[in-house]
Amino acid sequence: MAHDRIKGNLDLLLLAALAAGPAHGYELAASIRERSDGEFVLAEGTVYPALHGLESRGLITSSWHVVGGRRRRVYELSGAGRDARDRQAADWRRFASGMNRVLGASS
Amino acid sequence: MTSDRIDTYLDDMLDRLEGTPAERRRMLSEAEAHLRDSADAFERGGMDADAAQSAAIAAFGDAPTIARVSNRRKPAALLAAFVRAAAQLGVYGFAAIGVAALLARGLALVTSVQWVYGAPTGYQFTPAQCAHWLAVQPGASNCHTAAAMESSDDSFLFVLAAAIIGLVVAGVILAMLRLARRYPLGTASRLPRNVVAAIGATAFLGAGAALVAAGAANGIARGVWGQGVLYTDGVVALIFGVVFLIRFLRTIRPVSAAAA
Repeated sequence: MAHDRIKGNLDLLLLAALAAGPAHGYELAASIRERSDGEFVLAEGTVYPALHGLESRGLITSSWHVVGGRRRRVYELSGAGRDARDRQAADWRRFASGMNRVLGASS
Repeated sequence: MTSDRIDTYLDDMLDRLEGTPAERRRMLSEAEAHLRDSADAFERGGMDADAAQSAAIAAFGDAPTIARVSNRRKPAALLAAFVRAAAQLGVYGFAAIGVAALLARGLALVTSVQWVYGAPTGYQFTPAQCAHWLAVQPGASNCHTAAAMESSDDSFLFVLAAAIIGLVVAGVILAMLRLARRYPLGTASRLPRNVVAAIGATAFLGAGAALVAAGAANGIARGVWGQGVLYTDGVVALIFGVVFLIRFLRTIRPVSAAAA
């Protein structure tokens, strides 16, 4: 169930993870897993098509870097990406707050 | 050459990825760096190298699923890809028509206009038909010759029409390419080359075989006009089909013989 929810929110998770600074795909997958205390375990390969989609929409930028002796594509939030992250995060918090109130009222 | 699990996985993924060479190369490079990082981390956690690679691949996701997610296209990009492929094949089709028409003209010079364009031997014209052909081709000595000459003239008009349509299609392609440069669709807006080549090979070889068969059948049944045209059209279509088939076979050559 958590996996399906991640799929629908992967873009926001990646934008949020990139808010901490530039990172490559492996770091982003690890960051999402760790920051969610292991709750969000996704097929790590799905991160890349999502990153490519965000880049084609101008929300992130990327460039090749050699890190730790390996050539990696490092991603970074663009100005538009920062705005999108803020907007989507606010939407999500409103939704989560509403859900919590409904769940709290029924328990 | 030795190969590890990650190499085998990447070979499998490359075989399934679609898009431009740059897109496929990028996805593969990122996947390899990710898998090697992940395997290193599992090894530091105490796994042996082989188990660490297996664990890294399991965490990354199976190649068919990841390739499928990576290959997903926007509807606009998909539509553009189909239009582009259809236009590309259309240009070849019109070129084939032009080449076949020229070949038929050449064949008519070395054989006879009658055999290439005319009615089958023994065809009986009604008096009305005969009058019609002789009226439109007053220089002809008999009905058969007049009909063959008129058919030859018609084929010239047909080629002229095909050339105009071909130029329009080529213009549309050029306009699309210019638009694609100005408004990129993000993901690749072209069908994989092997798919286009397979469609081209099937269409041209099928059409070529059908036309040659019709020409041969005409030699027996003597029911259709222009046996020579059927042969020239068929031969040209077969040649175009063979070119597409060679292209297709080149695109499906195995990338690597590496085993797990």
